[in-house]
Amino acid sequence: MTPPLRPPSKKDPQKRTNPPLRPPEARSRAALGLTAAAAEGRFALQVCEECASVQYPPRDACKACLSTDLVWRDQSSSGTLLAETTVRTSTKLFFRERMPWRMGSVRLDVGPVILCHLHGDCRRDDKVTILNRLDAAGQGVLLAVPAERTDNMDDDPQLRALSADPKHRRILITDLRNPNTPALAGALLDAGAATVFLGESESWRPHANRSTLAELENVEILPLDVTDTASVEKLAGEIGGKTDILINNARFMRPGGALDRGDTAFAREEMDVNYLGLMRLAQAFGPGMCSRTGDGVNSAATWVNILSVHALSNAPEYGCFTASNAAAYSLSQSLRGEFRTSGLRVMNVFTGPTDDDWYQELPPPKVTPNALARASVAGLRQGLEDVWCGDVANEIRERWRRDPKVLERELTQGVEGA
Amino acid sequence: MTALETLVSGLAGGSVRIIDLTHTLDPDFPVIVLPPEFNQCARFRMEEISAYDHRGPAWKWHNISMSEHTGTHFDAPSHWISGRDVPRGSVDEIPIEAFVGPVVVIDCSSGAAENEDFELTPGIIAGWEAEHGEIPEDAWVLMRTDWSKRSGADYLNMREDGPHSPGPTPDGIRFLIEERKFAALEPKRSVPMPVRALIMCRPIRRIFTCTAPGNTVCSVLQTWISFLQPVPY
Repeated sequence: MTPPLRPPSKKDPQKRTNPPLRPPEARSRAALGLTAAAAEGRFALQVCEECASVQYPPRDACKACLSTDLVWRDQSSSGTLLAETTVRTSTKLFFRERMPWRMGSVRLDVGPVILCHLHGDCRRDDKVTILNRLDAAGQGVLLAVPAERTDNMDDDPQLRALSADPKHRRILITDLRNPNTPALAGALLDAGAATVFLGESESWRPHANRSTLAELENVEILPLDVTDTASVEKLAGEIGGKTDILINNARFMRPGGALDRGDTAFAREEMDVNYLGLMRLAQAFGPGMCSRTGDGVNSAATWVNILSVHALSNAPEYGCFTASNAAAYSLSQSLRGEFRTSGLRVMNVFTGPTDDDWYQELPPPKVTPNALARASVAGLRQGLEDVWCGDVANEIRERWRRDPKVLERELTQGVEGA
Repeated sequence: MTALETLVSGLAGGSVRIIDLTHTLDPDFPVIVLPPEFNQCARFRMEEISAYDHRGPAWKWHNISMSEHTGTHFDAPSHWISGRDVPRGSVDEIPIEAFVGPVVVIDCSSGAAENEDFELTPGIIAGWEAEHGEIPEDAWVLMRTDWSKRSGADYLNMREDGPHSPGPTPDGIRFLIEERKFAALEPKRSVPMPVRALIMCRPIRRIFTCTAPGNTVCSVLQTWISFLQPVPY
């Protein structure tokens, strides 16, 4: 049984913070299919289009028929643990600090035998489930966990290292005013977050969320305006060293494309909040978080952006807002590259229209604050990079993958008779 | 001595003091809040260009941005639609002499302390004149509210039906315009729309609204001008 994870004691001020370490990053291009699936929490393997055999490890050609026509396809993640071993030393610093380390071979129900990391509760001959998760190097790795849930299962050190579990962590949500903040804060506290910091801009302007959230235990409301560099720097100075997860939900949006508006005023605000706000936050909080990814139970773990799924392909009725989200999405990719060496993850939560004032004109389905919060917490627990929240986001993702140009053409349909 | 020499020597000798009644701009200073579908008043922002670093090794400077209506400011006649055709009605065209003039202060601080919607009425103006004499032509009329002692949310005092703060009534303004030909009104922040329309359509030099916040004792006037609210509108 996994011992329950205790809240971390206060840091010993005389001890050096563990530097960020990570397992080897190098992979072949063929192997990156596993990482792409892990980014979304899927378990996929290479399948030969000619002879239909499923193979592992990934290769450039089918090991059965030598065809190069290989595709990554989701597979059943069930299997049986055949054998296990315990590694007691390693030349890699990341593993050296975490010894002993158990590994095993698992026969998958779909055929191949894989080598994988082992959850502490897995024993030989057990039925296991294979999780495909991103490791600290940002690469997909396989971990066998018990097929049935066990006590404190998520507290297993290997599993926790492959997640960004909110439990015992301190989390900053950047915009108290966003309609989704109460649901997000509530879901994170339910998931065991130690503290939820809420950034509040313009405290002179009253809003309903304040009274809802001010009374909650383990919630701290702090001044933060993502459009004001000094304000962002000040808060980073105060809590940057104890921000383990940052959720940027600051959003400015108005409907309309370029011709619906007579000027660039709203667009400027959209860029200032949605794009430059992210950049200011990254410049202020990024370095501190990057330096604390090895800092024990409440190490810095993930940077979260909440984005419109139309960051992938513009929706002209919200054209200018969408453009700012496309900019933010692109910046998030840059941040992934910039954070990579430290092991700090960037998780983008792509959402369809949300159930709030600015999408009032649109028919359902819309993403409720609770649905967004559930998806975000689930994404953190699974250590995802991309979360698709709601029917619209999932559908846009599918259509975008199938053919971006076709999707663009469909989203930019003209008006009949015009 | 000429009047100018008297003033200059008074300033040099310290018998006359210059008081800054403007508010120091800061990024979190309240501004007018309009319904969100309208374009909004820009907040004050200050971005470092360089600070003795790789962006400029020997100097520190900032870019600043804000609205015409951020912090201490005045509304030129052309601000309001009723004043859009007033000759020389924009800030750059107003004769500089219009910015200097006699001041009267009508103390509404005790009334404003009891009632956040306190109104400056013709009756109160008449009461002031009975005590101090008639308001001179082209005078600046300052309405003391002590609102400057508030800050943040208390200052804006926003509720579901909008912000609440003391201000003049349309009748009060009409009296000042038509009977006293005043030059400026302070505060302008709680000037309701019909009042604003009245003020703004007057020819310049007669009428413009202004803001003159501050919180120091104004010994120049040797009165109790310790107030003058900072103005977000």
